[in-house]
Formats: sequence, C-alpha cells, structure tokens
Amino acid sequence: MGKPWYEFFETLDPRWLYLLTALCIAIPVAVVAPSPLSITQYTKDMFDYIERLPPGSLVVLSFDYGGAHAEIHPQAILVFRHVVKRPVYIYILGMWSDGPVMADEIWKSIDHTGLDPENPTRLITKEYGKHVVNLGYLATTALIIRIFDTITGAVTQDYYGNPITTLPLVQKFNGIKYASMVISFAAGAPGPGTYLQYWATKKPPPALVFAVGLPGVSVPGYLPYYDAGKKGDIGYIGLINSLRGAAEYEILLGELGLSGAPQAMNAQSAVHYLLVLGIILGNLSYFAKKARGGR
Amino acid sequence: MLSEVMDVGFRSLLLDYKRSIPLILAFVFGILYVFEWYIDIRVGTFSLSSYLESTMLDYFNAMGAMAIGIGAINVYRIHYRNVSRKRPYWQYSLVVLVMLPFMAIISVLGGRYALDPKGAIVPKWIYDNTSVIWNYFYWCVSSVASSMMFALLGFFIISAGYRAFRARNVDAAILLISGFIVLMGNAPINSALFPFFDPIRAWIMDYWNTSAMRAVTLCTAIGAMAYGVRVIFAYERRPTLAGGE
Amino acid sequence: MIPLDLAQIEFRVISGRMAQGVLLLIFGILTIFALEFSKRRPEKVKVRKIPAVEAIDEAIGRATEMGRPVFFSPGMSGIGALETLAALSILGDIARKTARYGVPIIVANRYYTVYMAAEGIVKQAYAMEGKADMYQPEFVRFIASAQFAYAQGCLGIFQRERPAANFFLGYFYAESLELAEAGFNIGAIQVAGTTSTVQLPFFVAACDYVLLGEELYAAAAYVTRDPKIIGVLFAHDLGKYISFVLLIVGIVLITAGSKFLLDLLAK
Repeated sequence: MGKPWYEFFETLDPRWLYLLTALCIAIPVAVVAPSPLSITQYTKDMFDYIERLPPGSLVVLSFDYGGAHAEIHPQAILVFRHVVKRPVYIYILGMWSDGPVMADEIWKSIDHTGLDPENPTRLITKEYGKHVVNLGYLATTALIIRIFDTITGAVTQDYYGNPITTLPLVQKFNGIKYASMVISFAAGAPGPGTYLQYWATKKPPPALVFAVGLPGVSVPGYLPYYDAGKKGDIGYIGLINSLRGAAEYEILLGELGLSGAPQAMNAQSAVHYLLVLGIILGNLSYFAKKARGGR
Repeated sequence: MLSEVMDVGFRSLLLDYKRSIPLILAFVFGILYVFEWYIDIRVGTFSLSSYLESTMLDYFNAMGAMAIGIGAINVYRIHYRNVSRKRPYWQYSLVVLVMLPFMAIISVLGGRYALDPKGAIVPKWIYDNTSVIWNYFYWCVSSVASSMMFALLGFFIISAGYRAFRARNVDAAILLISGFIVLMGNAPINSALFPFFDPIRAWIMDYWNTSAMRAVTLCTAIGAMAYGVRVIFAYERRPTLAGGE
Repeated sequence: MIPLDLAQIEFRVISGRMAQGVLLLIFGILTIFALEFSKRRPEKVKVRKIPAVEAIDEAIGRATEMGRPVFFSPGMSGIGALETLAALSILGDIARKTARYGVPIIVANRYYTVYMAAEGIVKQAYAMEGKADMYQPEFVRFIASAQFAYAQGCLGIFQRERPAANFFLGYFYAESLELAEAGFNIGAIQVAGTTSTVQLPFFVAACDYVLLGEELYAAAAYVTRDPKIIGVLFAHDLGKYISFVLLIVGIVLITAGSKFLLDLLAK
C-alpha cells in the first residue's frame, strides 16, 4: 500500500522546492515583455517630489549598500538617472564603503543628458565637478555630522582623489545644509535612520526632505516613517520598495530597459504563486493528516 | 557601580581594582555620553560633544584596528590546525590560509582604498597591475559570492514558508490569511489578474503592520534603556563586564 | 589638548532633546524605586516564564545526549550594541552549562572585539566550573567581518560539525533566515532572539523558540534570577505603562484638536 497523498507533502524533500523555485525564476526571466504593474503610492510620491524640485536645488544621493545589491542597485540607477535629468545639482556619498563605488559604476553607465540647473529650458551634458560630485565614503558618525555644516572641513578629497576645494560644486554649496532632498539607498545599518537622527533635526522638513530606497524585508519597519513624512513630520516623503518599486519607477521614468527591473517582475509573480501553492498544499495535507488521526 | 558601592563598600572596590576599574570606566563614560547628548559643555571653542564624537571615535577605531590583528591570528590558528591535522575538509582551510595574506597584500597595494594609487612612494606599475587583480577578485569572486548568498534567501524563504505556514491554531490561521493576502497583493501580475488584493494588502500594511511595528520598536527601545541602566550601574554580573561572581 | 579655563565654561542645552531628557530622568528615578522595591519585597516581583529561556536547558541536554556540539552566534553587531551585550550575558550561562555537561561549544563571531569578549567569557565560564583544562581555543572563533562571508562560514560549521543545538541571539540582518534554515536542515534544536523587527518573522518561521525583541534583554536577567536585575525588568515594565498612558492621553488630545502633548515632547 502506497503512502497517503498527504504524507508525500508532509515529508517533501525541500530540494524539490528549490528546483521548482529555480525554474520559476529562470523561465519567466526569459520572457521579455513585462507584465502590467500598478504604481504604489510611496513610489509615486518620491517620483513626483523629484519632478517638482525647483531648478538649482541640491540633491544628496546616499549609497548605503554593498555587493549583494540585486534589489537596491536598480532603484539607484533609476533615481540617479532621474535626478541627472532634472535641473538640479547632485552630491553623492555613502555610509558603506562600497556605496561610492556603486555610484561610480552607475555614473559611468548612465546618460548624462539633463536640464541645466541655471537655465531649466536648456538640455546639457552634466559634468562631474560642476553638476555632480562624489564625496566618497563617510566612515564615522562624526564625519556625517560635520559634513552637514562644511564639506571642506570634513573631507579633503573626493572619491577620485581630486582636492575638494578645487571642485566648482563644492565652492558653490559647501555643506549638506544647502540641500533640499536626501535620498538614501539603504541595505541595512548604517542606514537612513542615521540621516534622520543627525540631519533632519538640524534642518527639519519641508526645508530638507528625505526619501529612501529599501530592500523588501526592511519596508514594513520603515512604513511608520513614511507615514510621518507624509504628514510633514520628520520621516520619508517617498519610499521605493525593493525590485518591484524599481520596476514601478522605471515605468514612471519612461526609460524602459534602464535597470531590467520590469523584466524580473514575471519571475517575482511566479515565485509568489509557487509559495501560495506550497502553502495551500501544505495546509491541505496537514488537515487531511489531522482528520485521519495523525499529529 | 551604585550597587557595588552600596553592597561591597568603597574600600573593597579599591582593593579589587581589576574588577572595579572596568566598572568605573563603564560608569563614567556611560554617564558622560548620556549627559552630553542633552547638555553640551563648552569651554571657549572646545565642545565636549564634538570631542566625544570625533576624538573618542578615533580611539575606538584604533582599538578596533588592533583587534583585527587578533582576529586574523585566530583565523590562522584554527585553519592551520585543520590543515596540519588533516581534519575533514582541510583543503578549504588551506584556501583560507593562502587567500588571507594574498588578499590583504593585494588590497593594500591595489585595492579601492590602496596605500598609494598615485605612485608617490610605491611604483605606479605595481598599483596598476595589482588593482586589476584586486578588481577581479572583488567583483568576480567576493561580490558575486555575496550576491549568491543573498539570492539563497529566496530559496530558503520558499522552504521555510512551506513548512511554517500551517493553520495549527487561531493565531496561526490569522497569520496565514494575512500572509496570503499580502503575498497575493505583492505579486506584480495581480495588478492585472486580481486587483482587489492590493487595497486590502495596503490596509493591512498601513494600519495593522505599522502599529504593530511601532509597538515592538517602542518596547525594544524601553528595554534597551533598561539594559543600558543595568550596564552603566554594573547590575550586569557577567564575567567580562563585571569580573565574574 | 583640552582647554581648562573654567571661567569660560558654559552649559548649552541642546534643543529638541529636553523632553527626552526629562523622560529619561523619570525613568531613572523609577528604576531606582523598582530596584529598592524588588530588594525589599522580592516575593512581590515575579518574572513570567519565557519559553525560549526554559528551552536553553532542553537544547543543551539534547546536545549532550547526541554527543554533538552547541553553536552560539552573538549576532551581527559590534561590542557597543546592547543586543550583543545581552547575548554575551546569556553566553556566559550557556558556556557554564556546556562546561558542566562536557559538551563542546562553538561561538562564531563577526567582529574581532566581540570575539575577544566571547573568548574571555567562555574561558572564565569553564574556569568557574573547574574545567579550565577542557577549554579549547577552537571553541571561540572569529569567522569574517563581511556579512555573507560570516553566514557562509557558519553554514560551513553546520555542515562539517553538525551542532545539535543552535543559539542565535543578538542583532541579525538578512543572513538570519539562512542560518536558521541551514540549522533546521541539519536537525538542530534552535533558540533565537533578536530585536530586529525585520528578522523576527524569519526566526519565528524557522526556529523552535524565539525571544521577541525586549525578551532578549529580559532573558539576560531571567537566567540569573538576581532580584536586583529582576527589579530593572520591573522598571522596564513601569516605563511601558508610562508610554501607554502618554499614548492614550496623546490620542485623546490629538482627536480633540490639541497638539499640546506633541509640542511638549518636541521641546
């Protein structure tokens, strides 16, 4: 007499699940057309805020993630490209040592065309040093606190080794205090909470607002901050939720193919359904076993 | 600290200096750091708050740097024993023994924060060649391995979810149903197939999840304050912190 | 050089933090009250059972029966994090039990400073049990500082040395599910505890017993059963009652249209 059907599911070797997961990811990724996607409010809020930034504003992009960056790197590519397109100036920094390296990779790969901060009707090619500066890795909290008031007092050279005082953008805005928006791409700690703690108290919203790109696991923990930020308190005015948020952002930005996030949504849907199927089968077998007197 | 003084007596504390010195240091710096968070003491241009944040951090970083050496010695000791005694999987230990100094030297000479990228002291050709090797090992080995480990989470979530999401009781059933709704709401394709899941998911995340997260965060913060009090006032009777019982 | 012209000394209250300071002072006074109360009336201050702490003995007993080691991870934070200190407190208790029963312990550390503290704790625990000669340097290991390199190292330990009991106590990041799931796959009994709200669900799904958030701090007191430390737990609960009262008052005031409490707490 063979095993009852529910015993098969109760004692299923997890390697079958791993194989099914691999197939659910690999096969849909080969399907090029992305599936339709609704835009969540927190992604739209971030996009709209960047669109509405006044010409000549200063935006700070903080790259706080490292090697394992599959969820956050696409977000960073898209937001960086969006901010380059807008008539604003950009500072790049990172609380993780790999952060400025990621920023450098993105800067080398994206199109530098954007609106001139001094003449927002004109399209120009943004120049490093004049429109964008990579301030490098901020190793300590003391640097994070100091760089808010003075960049030349905190660091002596940028990421590429150029003396900081020779950069036109730093001569124009010698301090993060001149910024209107800080966007942090954070994989963990130190993360966006650090900026809220040290910078938001010195220049509260709406003068300086914060937004964040997060991996999926971190989002539930930061939703209270988004809730507060929406109301004008210290918090986040926008939030990008993992790879799905990156896909939404790519659709809003209108530069499809820039990050590859929408293509991954098919795989994400497939794995979600696999998990739902597994949960349903697991529960059916559990209840069937219980009904037949098993434990 | 307070409990020690009250229980043991000041004189005994002075006699048992090996135990009391760490306690006194923990107490003094604990109180100082708490105090300076609220009240900044300034003497002319000197600010205690800035001093503690910058100079003391430099001391901590220096201590941490020394500790790196001790950690490396421990790694070497363990893996050397594995190789010398030919314990199972000793070959992996041999790889560690070889790669540890190799990557250390390559990183110093040609890594991202190399000693001398401009070639002022070390000849530039050394930096140029070692940075190629470093970039290969960092981007093609280390970074890819980290991404691989992160990707493993996807597989583990499937097996853990399959095993753990059982409606064994009422609480588990509520967790199961809300988890199911959030999963279906998050699946991107459901924007077209089952759009009704999204507003329910948003309601669960924005109200139930947010308030629960706030409660856990608040209680954890109060717990951390209470634990901080225990450490500063030396109620923690653990071997390293309080010298043993 | 620190200038010592005391005539120029000035105390400057940092704005936006006074309300916090007053609340901290109130909490400090409550702590002293709670300590005195628990010292004088220890029978009145009881700690409820925390199943995960009760399970520590069960886990070590299982490891003893199976003749396999006990694995302990003090988390991914440095020595300055309160979660790490709490985890090291519990390590002392676990190390004493493993010494008593003659079970090897493996403590895997991510930071060298935590490694040094853990080594001291385990050595001292073995000495206290009169088993100093049983202590081996391999018991306490520094694995790697990189997050996933540490996770890979721990997974390797699970595969090669197959511990029967795993303890994951401290602050964890994304590697929490990997550690817990890999531990489950080798059949180990697992006790976890973290204050990271993001990683708690993964531990709950994959581990047998979990200390949720503040229970990690409480567990460090629970294992000692010292009335003074239990008094601090009492203070912790009093702090929660105050927060609850402030919450209710705040909700009522905000609903009535008054921002008085909000502005007061922002001072």
